[in-house]
Amino acid sequence: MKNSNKKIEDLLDKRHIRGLTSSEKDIVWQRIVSTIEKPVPSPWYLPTNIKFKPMIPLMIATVMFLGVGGTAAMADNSRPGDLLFGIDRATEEVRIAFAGKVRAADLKAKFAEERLSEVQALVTDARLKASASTTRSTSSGQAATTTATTTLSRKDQQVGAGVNVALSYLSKISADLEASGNLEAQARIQTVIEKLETLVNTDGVKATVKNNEDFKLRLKREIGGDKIEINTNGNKSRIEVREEDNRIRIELKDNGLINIKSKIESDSDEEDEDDENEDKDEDDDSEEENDGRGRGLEIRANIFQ
Amino acid sequence: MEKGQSTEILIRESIHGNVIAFQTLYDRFSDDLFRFIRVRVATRDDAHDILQEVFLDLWKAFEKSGFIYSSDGEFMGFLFVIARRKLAKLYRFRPLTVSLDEMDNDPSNTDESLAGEIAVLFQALGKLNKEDQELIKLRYYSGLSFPEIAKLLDKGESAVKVRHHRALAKLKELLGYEK
Repeated sequence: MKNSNKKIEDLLDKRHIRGLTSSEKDIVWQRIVSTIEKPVPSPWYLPTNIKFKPMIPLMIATVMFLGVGGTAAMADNSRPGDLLFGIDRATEEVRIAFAGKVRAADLKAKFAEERLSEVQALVTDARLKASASTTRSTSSGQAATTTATTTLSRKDQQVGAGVNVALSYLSKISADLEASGNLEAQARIQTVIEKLETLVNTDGVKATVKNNEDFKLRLKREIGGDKIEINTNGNKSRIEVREEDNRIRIELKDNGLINIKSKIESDSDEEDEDDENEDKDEDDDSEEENDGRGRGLEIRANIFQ
Repeated sequence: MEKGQSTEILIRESIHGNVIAFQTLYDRFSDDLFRFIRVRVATRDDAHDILQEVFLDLWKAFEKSGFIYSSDGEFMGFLFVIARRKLAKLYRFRPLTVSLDEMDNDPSNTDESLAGEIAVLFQALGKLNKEDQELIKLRYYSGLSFPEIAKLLDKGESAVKVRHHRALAKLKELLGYEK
């Protein structure tokens, strides 16, 4: 009986199907992995391990992504302040949301690097625009007026560029904080943005932009003393905002982490400097940092939750 | 990811989005699954497509609700259930008319002296009931183990072994072999 069974089994084994060859196996795997790693936003499929609340803007972004694939590609080259920047950010969020954890970490690092480059490009642009302005001078009787008008235009141009840079940077930080759910930090940045916009459009406000390696924008109301000063202090990933009685330092790290340090000053001695003395500000910063005066708060927010 | 990692760990890693772990799972289970599928589709290309769809469905299953591992056999059975669903969908409107003679079996099986015996065996196989035919195909064409077959057919392993034994006995009777 056993021999009969063995014989039948041997015959049946002869019909064993040829399995996958190595190349077939690789080809099928490549098709699988390209589908897994390719974000395919779809309204009927959502990973359930992602919190729903932040998914609402992502779902909107997903629809945008589906409908404007070419626009999303164009948006990748946009910078803060550009119309397409919002789409670029939304596209990044969607890609991270649908990537596996290992891939998501790589994407976060990549996008953080892009963020730093965007800011650096903005600062460079502002510098270039400011230095491209020229002052004309003539020997005629109208020289003074002409020179004054030209100088004012150039200054407006510099200030305009500087304000754009500051607003773009702060708006980007605000959007990132909102997307990551850090509403307290986002509200803090929003108040700075609103103040900046208000001062820029207010009469009697003196505005200056430093024209060197650093970015520094200062707006000060002549009467009332409202003031805001924004500078990078030589570090392009960091922007410092100083107001009448407090200071905020915003630093974007290359792992996507935003450090926001806010300090409320109890002494305003250094706040009444004239424009001619603004170059001396830089040396004061390090002293203020260590003087231990005032109270403040520190927020660390990850723009990639 | 070590190739020697247990299936349980590979599944856990895959649930967390580790593509390398998922690839190791694919390497480990795709051969048997392919053979199971191949018997039931017209061409190797169709089998490749179904195989791809099964692992994509598996990835989605990992992402959606996770997967609770109990045994390798159970996991393999789960894969076969997915494959069966895919096959049913593929052939919903067209019957599978694959001739076993057209199957691309192992090239080493070209011994002409056995060809006659194999042909007779196939005739006898066709006379078994469908459940026994399926069991024989799973065991010998697809190369599945008894635990895997049990999971796939949703039966106990002992029941599967008993049925297998009876199927062979019937084949012997049909072939006129000595008992």
